Amino acid sequence: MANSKNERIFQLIINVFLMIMVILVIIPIWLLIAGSITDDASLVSNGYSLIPKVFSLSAYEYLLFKSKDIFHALGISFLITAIGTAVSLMITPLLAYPLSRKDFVARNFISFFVFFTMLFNGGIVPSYIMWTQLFHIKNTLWALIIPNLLMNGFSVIMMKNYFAQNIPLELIEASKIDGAGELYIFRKVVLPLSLPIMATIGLLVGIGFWNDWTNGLYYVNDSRYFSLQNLLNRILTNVQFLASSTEISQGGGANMKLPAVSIRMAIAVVGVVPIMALYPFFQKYFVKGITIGAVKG
Amino acid sequence: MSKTTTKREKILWKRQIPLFLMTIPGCIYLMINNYIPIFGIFIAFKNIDYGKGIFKSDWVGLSNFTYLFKTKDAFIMTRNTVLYNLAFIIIGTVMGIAVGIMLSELRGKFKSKFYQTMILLPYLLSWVIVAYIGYAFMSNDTGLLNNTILPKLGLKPVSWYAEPKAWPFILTFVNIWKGIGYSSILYLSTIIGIDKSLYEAAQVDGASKWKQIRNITLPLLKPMVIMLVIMNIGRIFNSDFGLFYQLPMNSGALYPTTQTIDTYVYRGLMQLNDVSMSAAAGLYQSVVGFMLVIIANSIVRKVSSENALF
Amino acid sequence: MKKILALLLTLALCLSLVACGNSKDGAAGKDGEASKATEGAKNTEEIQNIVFAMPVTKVVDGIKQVEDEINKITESKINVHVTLEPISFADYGTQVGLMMSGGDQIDLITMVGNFSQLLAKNQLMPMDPYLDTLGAGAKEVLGEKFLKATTVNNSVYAFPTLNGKAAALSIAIEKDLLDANNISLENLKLATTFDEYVANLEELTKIFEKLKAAAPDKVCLVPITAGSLQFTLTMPGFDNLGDNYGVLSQDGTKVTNYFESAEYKTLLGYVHDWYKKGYILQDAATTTEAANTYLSSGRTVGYFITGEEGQAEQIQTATGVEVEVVKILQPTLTTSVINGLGFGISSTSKYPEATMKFLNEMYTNPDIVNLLDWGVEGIHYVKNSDGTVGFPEGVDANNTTYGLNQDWLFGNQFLSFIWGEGRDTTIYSRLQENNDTANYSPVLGFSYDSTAVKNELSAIVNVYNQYGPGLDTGTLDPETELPKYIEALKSAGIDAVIAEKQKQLDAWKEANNK
Repeated sequence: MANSKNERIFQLIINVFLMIMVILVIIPIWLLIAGSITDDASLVSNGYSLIPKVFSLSAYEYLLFKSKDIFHALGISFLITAIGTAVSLMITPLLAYPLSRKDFVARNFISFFVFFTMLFNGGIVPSYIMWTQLFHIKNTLWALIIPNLLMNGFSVIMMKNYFAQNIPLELIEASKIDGAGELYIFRKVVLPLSLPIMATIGLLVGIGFWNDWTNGLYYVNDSRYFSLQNLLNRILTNVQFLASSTEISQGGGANMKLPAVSIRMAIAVVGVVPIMALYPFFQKYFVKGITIGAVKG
Repeated sequence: MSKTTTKREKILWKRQIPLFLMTIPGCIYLMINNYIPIFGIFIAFKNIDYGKGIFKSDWVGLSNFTYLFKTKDAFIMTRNTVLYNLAFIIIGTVMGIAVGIMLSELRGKFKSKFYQTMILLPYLLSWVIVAYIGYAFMSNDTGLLNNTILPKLGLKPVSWYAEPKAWPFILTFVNIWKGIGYSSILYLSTIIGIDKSLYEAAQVDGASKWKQIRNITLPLLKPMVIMLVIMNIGRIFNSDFGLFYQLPMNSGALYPTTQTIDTYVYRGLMQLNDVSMSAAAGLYQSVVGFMLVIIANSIVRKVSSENALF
Repeated sequence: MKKILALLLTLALCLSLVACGNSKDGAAGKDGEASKATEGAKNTEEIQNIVFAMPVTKVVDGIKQVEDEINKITESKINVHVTLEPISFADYGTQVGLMMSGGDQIDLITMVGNFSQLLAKNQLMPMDPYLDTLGAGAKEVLGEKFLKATTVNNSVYAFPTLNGKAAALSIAIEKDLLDANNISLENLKLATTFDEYVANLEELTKIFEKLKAAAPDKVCLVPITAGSLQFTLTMPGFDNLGDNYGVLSQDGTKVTNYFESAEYKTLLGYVHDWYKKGYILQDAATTTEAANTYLSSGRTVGYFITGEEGQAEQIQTATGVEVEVVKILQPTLTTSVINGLGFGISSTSKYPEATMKFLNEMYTNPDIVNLLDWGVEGIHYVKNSDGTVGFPEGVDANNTTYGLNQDWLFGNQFLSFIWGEGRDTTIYSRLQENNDTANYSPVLGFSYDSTAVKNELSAIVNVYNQYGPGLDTGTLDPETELPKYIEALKSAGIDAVIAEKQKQLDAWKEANNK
């Protein structure tokens, strides 16, 4: 009885705390959404408010109906996110799993090999030369998928850690005695037990692909291959650039028409909504992880 | 005796091969994507002449590095970078674990989904957008705080973008706000993987929730915390450019508390647009981070060798 | 093991797909070029393909159409095929640097206030071998004075954009408000001395006072570029020698520290006074919002703008607000004003002749200029009866596939159509006249190379970012902050920069017999 009362208080505290966090998230994001559905003139003259003073959907009308680019870009974004995440979830655990095995001789060496990549990088110039001259990915879809995003040291080390902690070595030994090969064990024993980390890394990698605009910036000039973030980022950075370039302002570009604040805010909303909608899909595996964890015990 | 050991070793080597093979795709990718371009570090020691091409440009020794140390700002920007990183590591880790545990203890599928989704939202926004939201709150002219909230509370408007004292708090808050969803989910995924029977046994023994957390969850999170901390130490001279440049709207009055190595380099090279000098800055940050990681890792190795990163 | 093999095979397949995808593209591209080339060879000589790294401010889907139309003209006329490579303005410098160091083909590059940086890094090729032959037309229309701005050591390295360069500091104020309150701007004069300039500012103080009384909810001034109201960083006869860190003294002999000058202090006095009185937007130091947004939404009644004639029309087109614009400062055409925007041949170009031929077209051929400025006739624009151009039926600013509106950039603007029905079509002749009669800097043609002081410069730019926007928008009090600014500049090494500039200026003068 006392226990369940404690439990109830505990749940209450958790809920209150998380609710506060959610409110701290929702207010700023609502301010963003409210900004995107407020009339521009009102934003600049009356300022921001949680309830739009002059309601207007013109920003969305502009983004969604007048510029056709956005749907094409959305398609590209989905495509690269899907391919990229799938490939990443193939090669990352393949590398992470051997590193988690205490009986793997090259464990320390390869771990260091992986970790080193998180500290040093050659910068964009050598990467650009390599990818464009050696692999010719400029202005192709591959440019959005392959450089930098497919695998990073962080997710390898996260996974390695998870495997090391959660996959009992006895389980692997037992399977081996049954005559299973390493890859079979990896697929049939290790992976099913690792759904939570697979979902987490999948989510993080997926967000990485979805939100990336740097690959597009460096390797793609052809608007057919612009991803959503690429398109949006180009709009945002050009607005900032035009607002600060004296040469352009004095050279005659002072009266260039720029996308208004509300459009820029709508852009943010449009970029976030699709990936939010995918979140429950990843979430599913978190729950599965729990039940498997129980069975395993 | 000796016969059996050689036999066992043979078997072990045979067992190693599949493991090696599994690492091949990943290693190839890292080799191409990360290691080949590292050779480009030589750019930091050259004066780029595009007509000659970067390979034939003149060597200039360490002169591309001098600008990082020459000014009296060198101390301020280094101090800011390191202190903010320390604050982020400590507060971020504590908060991440706390929220991760809460999410795992939460009853009710829907609620859990709801909270996770909501808390993750800021992580999805780009810094430019976060800066817009910050501006919507803190602008003198149009901001929600100065226009609506502060007057209602009977407080005077604050000129946020000219008030350096406020920014250590603002930056820390926004950094946690943006990153908490990500880090709590990382911890949550580890907590979910913990063997449930451990808790069941503890419950049978009558251990309170707090005791369960302290004696089961936290010790099992330790390896991951250590790992994340070591990784963050490696980036202690780096800073999130968006957080320190975009969010303060590049306001000069805030430099004492917002200037970091990355923002200094960016601003300093805006006009020069010199890739060698920025490569030099990146190399400097990496080398310092690398040395600190080696030190941190060797300490961990001494204290609890199984948690060392390599 | 089989599984591993399968996996590796899949991976290999993936990689080879990547390779294939590209080689296909590459092959197709080469075939295409080859066939074009053979076609050309049949006719006359070989057609050379050049790449124009074209800075754009928006995403343009219709660029291929424009490219095709341009090539219809250039292939038959000058045997040049142009590939337009659109690059975001915001990332232009980085991208061009990458392309050049990466060995990508890039022949024609744009400069945006970075002539001397491009030169210092050897990104531009001297044009002299072709100037009198292939580029003769462009040389002629640009004229000697303009080409001086892109001449270093007697070699011409680029063509500046040809448009109304005599852009003068002007004040734009909402007309309705002026009329309704009987406020007249007639006492504002085109200042040629510092005293006249100060008199204008005195007059403006009175005007702002009346405006503020008439419209207390509005401000009078917003920055036109982030962090600067512009009027504090200029004065009669001002030559900033490239970057404000070391400017030309009034007698044209010495390089001095402008931030230490009595004039700068005086101007800062005005801007701070206006800020305290509420004439200037409170967020002036940090806002990145366009001045026109503030104007059209009724937040401000005006702003300072540096521009040529026709500003009032342009502002009205952009904002829908009728404004009165008065020039208040006689401009000085300096090297950096003239070479702020322009075009040069990449030092990595393999086809400098072809590039020069195309550049020549950009300054002499109205068809090319209008294609670059407005797109394809009938698709992106149509001619109006009054000689201007506008959108075709059913096309507007939101759904056009071109609509760059960068007529102020591409080559010779005087060959371009004027956008917008009803606009004054005689304006170009006046702009040209203003260019000819303008006041030129005594050291026109001097470009300074900052390589020797780049360490100091990177520190100075940081100091400028810390204090400059605050002071130049009036947010900071010059009484207390200006001395700190000067001190910080000195400790960052501005004296070394000034000495270096002086050294280069003296050398330049000697070489040019001045």
